[in-house]
Amino acid sequence: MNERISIASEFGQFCADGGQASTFRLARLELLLSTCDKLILDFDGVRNMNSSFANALVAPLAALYPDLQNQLVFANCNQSVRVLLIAAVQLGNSRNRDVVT
Amino acid sequence: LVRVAIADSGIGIWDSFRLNDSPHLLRIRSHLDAVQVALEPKVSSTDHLGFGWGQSVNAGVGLTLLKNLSVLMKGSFVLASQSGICSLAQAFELPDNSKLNGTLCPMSFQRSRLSQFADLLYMAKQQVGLISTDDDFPEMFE
Repeated sequence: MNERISIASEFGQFCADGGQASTFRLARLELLLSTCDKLILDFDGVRNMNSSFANALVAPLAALYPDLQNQLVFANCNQSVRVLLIAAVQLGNSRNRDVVT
Repeated sequence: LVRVAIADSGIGIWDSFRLNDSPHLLRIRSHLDAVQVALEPKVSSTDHLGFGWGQSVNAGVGLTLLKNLSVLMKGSFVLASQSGICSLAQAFELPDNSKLNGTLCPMSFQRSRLSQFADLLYMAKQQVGLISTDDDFPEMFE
């Protein structure tokens, strides 16, 4: 089962509140990742984002789910959003390595 | 010049390290120390909290990023918290009777560099280790 979530519908076109992203991750994303095969976060309509939001939304998932890269998909990202999401996954992976080592 | 400033009236950087019982406190003996430590890349008052089970998702690069971006944009940068002040050129401690209640971060950019802003921001992010070119996870994007 695949699940698609529109980030713009949840947060609007400017995503800048890391606290909201953290709550959303805990309440929705972690549950969905535990129950569906593929989770698609659709960024259509998101014009800009800050690193606090991207890190809060994604980095802990990368630390918690070693197979995240096969389970989570980012769709319709503009270039600036894409860069922040890559940085967030890298941050999560680095923290995961820190925990393991 | 384009001038931007961000200010708050919070507890300040040193007390933020104290509040979170940060291991960085071992290196901090003054508000000036706290400001200088906060400007180091990948340092934040919560970076010791593992976010797998806690709440910390702070990469600790925001202030360093702004400082580096100001340099790349041929501008200026100041970080002041309580009595500690650090700019691109100097760092000093204010007398107790003139300290700032909170944290202030004014910066400026050369207007002529605004057209390169996206590229310079990307470069600044690479400098602080926020973006690595090792892996950009193409399989995660559609």
